[in-house]
Amino acid sequence: MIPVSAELPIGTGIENGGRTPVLEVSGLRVGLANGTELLHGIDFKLFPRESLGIVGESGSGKTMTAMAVVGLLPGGVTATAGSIRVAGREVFNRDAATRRALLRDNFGVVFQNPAVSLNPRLTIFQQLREALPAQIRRSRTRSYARSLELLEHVGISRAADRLRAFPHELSGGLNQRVVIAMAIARSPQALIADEATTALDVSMQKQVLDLIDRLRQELNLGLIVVSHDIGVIADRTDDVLVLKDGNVVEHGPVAQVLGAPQHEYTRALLDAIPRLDGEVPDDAGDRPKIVLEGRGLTREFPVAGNHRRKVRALDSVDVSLHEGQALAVVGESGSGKTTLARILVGLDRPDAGDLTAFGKPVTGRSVARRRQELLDVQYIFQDPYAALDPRQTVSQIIAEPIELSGSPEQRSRKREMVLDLLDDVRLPRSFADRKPRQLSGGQRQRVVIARALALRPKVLVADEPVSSLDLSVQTRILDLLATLRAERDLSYLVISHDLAVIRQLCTDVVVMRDGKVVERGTTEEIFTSPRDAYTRQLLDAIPGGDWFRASPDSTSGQQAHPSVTASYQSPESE
Amino acid sequence: MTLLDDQIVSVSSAPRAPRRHWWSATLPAIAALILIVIVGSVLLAHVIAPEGYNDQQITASYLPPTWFGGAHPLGTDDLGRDMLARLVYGGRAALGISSISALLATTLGLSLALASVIGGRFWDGLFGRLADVQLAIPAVLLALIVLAFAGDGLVPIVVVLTVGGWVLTFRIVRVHASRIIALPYIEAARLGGARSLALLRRHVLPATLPLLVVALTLNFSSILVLESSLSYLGLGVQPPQPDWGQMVAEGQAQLNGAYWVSIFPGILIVLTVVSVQILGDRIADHFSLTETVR
Repeated sequence: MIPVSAELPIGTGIENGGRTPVLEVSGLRVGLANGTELLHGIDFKLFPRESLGIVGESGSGKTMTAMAVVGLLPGGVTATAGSIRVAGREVFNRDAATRRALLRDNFGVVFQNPAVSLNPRLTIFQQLREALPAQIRRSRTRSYARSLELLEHVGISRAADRLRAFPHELSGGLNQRVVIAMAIARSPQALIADEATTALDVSMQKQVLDLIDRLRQELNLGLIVVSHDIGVIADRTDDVLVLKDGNVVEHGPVAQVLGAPQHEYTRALLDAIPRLDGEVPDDAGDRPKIVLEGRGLTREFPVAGNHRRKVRALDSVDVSLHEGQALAVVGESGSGKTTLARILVGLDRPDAGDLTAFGKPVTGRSVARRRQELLDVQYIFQDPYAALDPRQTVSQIIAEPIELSGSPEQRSRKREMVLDLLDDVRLPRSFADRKPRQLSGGQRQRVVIARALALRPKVLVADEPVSSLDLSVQTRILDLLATLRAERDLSYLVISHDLAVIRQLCTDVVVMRDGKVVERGTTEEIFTSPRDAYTRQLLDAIPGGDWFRASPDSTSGQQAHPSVTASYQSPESE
Repeated sequence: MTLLDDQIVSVSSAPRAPRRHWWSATLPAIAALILIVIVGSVLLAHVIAPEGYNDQQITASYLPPTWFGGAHPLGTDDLGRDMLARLVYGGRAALGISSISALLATTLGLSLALASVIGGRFWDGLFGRLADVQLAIPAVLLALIVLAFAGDGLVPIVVVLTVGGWVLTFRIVRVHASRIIALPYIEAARLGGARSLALLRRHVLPATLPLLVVALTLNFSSILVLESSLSYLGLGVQPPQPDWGQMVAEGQAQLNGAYWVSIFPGILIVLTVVSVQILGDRIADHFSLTETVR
C-alpha cells in the first residue's frame, strides 16, 4: 500500500561494514522483580549519523527499551539479561558510577513533555548549567558562554534573554528546544527522542524534528526516535524497529518495513493511520437549518501578571453549524479554537458577539443558565483520563446527566438507558460497574461519548477527541463518531490540529489563526486547493504526508487485509 | 488481541518511592493500641473507679504509686483522692470537649472552604482574610479574652476551641477543592446540567473526604493541646471536676515530692496527641498511595 521508494535512505544500519556502532543492544530482557518479563530480547545497532525509529503502541515496550538503554528504568524494573554496548564498551557488569558516567557522556535524552521535564522553579540558565560537564559547570562565566552557544545552536533567538527566563515564560516549542540543548550539552554520541514532539502541534513538531535532524548531521549523532506516530518515523528515520508486547516484530530499513510490511501487526499499524487521501464524509446535501451559530464572537483573557494587558483569544469570529453538518475547526495551539468550542457549548461567555442555538439566542449569564439553554449541545473532552471522576463507576458517570437534567420518565428507566448507551458506544454492558481506572484510554473516551449522548443531544462539540489516544484506537473512535452521526442525525463541530482526523470525519472546515478565521470551505476544497498560505503550511507540516498521500493503490490498501482489521475490532482490547 | 492492550507498566523518570521502614508499619499499630487503652479506660471510668473522682481521704494524701495492686495503684493527690480515678474521669472532660470541638471545627472549616470554592471571588476573599485574621491572633489569647467575659461554661469553651481550630481544615480543604473544581470532570457535570450544589455533593465532597479524616485527626490533637492549656490556666473545666490540664497545674507545686500528680496527666496528654498524629499520618499515607486525587 506504500510505494517502495526508489531511493532508499542512505546508511541502513543493519549492514554496515567495519564501523563501530554507537550503540549495540543484543538480547536485552527487562523484567519486574516478581519475574514478569516486559521486554523479551531486543536487538539493534545504531551507527553514528544514523537514525532508528522505535514504533509501537502504548505498552509495546518502546519507551521501556529507550529507558533501559539510558539506565532510567522505573523503580522495580530491571534489565535481566542481554548486553548494551556503548561505543564498543559493555554497560552491564560495571559498577554503578562507571555505568552512569558511560551513559551520561554518550547519550542525550529528549523527553516527551517539556512542561514536566523542566523544573519550573529554575531559570533556563540554571537548568542548562546543570546539564553541562563538570569542568565547565564550575565556572559561571564559562557555563554562561556555553549555554548561550547551546541555545543558539538549537535555534533560539534572543538567547541572553531566554537564559534569564523561567520555563513558563517560553512556549512549548521553545521549551522543547531547551530540553534538546540540555541533551546535547555534553556532546553526546547519540540522541534519544522519546515521543519528543507528541505534545506539540504539527507546525511546531515539524520545526523541532527539523532541528533534531540538523543536529544529527552537524554533530554526527546517532538518533533514536521513539514514537507511536508512524508518520514521524517514516519521515525522519533510516531504520525502524516495530515493537509489540516487548518483542521485535519487524526490523529493517524504513522503506522496506513500511513499504512491504511482513508482519500483520505492522500492517495493522499502517492501516490505522487516518488517510489523507481517502473518501471525504458525505455532505448532508442542501443545508436546511442552522443549529448553532456564533456572530462576531470575541473573547479576551487578561495576561498573567499584568492586569492592563489582554490577549484576544477570539476576534469577531463568525461560525455557523448546519443540521447534519460535520464542521472542523483547525489551527495551531493558541489559535483560539478551544476558546471557541467552550463558548459554543456554554462553558464560557464571549465578551462580545451573539450565540444562537436552534434559532434562539443564548442569553444566560452563569454557566449553569447557559447550559440549561444549550442542553442539546454536548461536549466531548480531549483527555478522557481527566474527564471522568475516578471515584464513580461507569454507570454513575453515564447516568449523571440523566439524573441532573433528564425528564422524570428518563430518570425512572435510568439503568436501562445507561446499558443502551453502552451498546451505542460499543462497550460491553458488563463495563457498567467498572471504575475509570480499570479502563483503557479508548474505552474511557467511549464512556465520555456515552455520557455526552445521554440527553439525546442534537449537536456534539468535540475538542481534539482522539489526540490523546493510540493510533489504532483513534481510528476506531473516529469510526464510532462517524457511525453515531449517521445513526442519530447529529451535527458535529470538531476541533483538531490533526488534518488527517478531520479528513476522515468532517464535511466542512474552518481554519483559524490567532483568533481569526483565515479560510473556510468544504473538506475537499481545503485539502485539494487551499487558498490561504497558512492552510498550505499546515497541510505540509503533517508528518509522513509524502508517504501516505496520493499513492495510486492506497485506497485498496484499506481493504487489502480484511482479516487483520477485522480481528482488531473489539473495543474490549483498546 | 493484545495489540491494543493498554500499557501495563508505565515507564517514567519519576523518582522512586522512598523505601518504607519496618517501624512505619508497627508504629501506627502501637499508636492505635495506646489510643484504644486510653479511650477504653476513659469510657469505662465508672467501672474502673466506682467511687467517683472526688472521694477524699485526707489521711492518705500524696501516697506514691504502688503500680500493681494496692488501693491506689497510681497514688493519690493532695486531698488523698485516687489518681487513677481522677485520670480516667479527667479524660472524659479532656477528650470529650476536644472531640466535640474538633468535629465542629472540621465541619465549620469544610463548610467555609466549600462556600469559598463555589461562592466566587467575594466569598473566597472574605473567608480567606477571616482565616488570616484568625491565624494572626494567638488562640490562647483569644480564648482568655472570650472566657473572661463569657465565663467558663461548657458552651463558651467549645466555641472558643472551635473558632481556634477551623482554619486548618479550611485551608486544607479549600486548596484541594479548588483544584478539583477546575478539573474537566467537573465541567462534564456542568455540561450535564449540574449546579453548584450538585457539583459539591457529587464530586467535590467525595474527593475531599479522605483529607477530611486527616484534618480531623490534626484538629483533634491541636485542640486537645489548646484545651489542656486553657484548663491548665484555670479557664477550662472547674474543680472539683478533674481535667488533665487542670491536674497538671494542681500538681505543679509538689513536683519535687509528689511528681505523679502532675506527670501522669501530662503523659496522657502527650501520648494521646502523638498517637492521634501517628494515626493521622498513616491515614494520609494510605490515601496518597491509592487514587484519591487526579
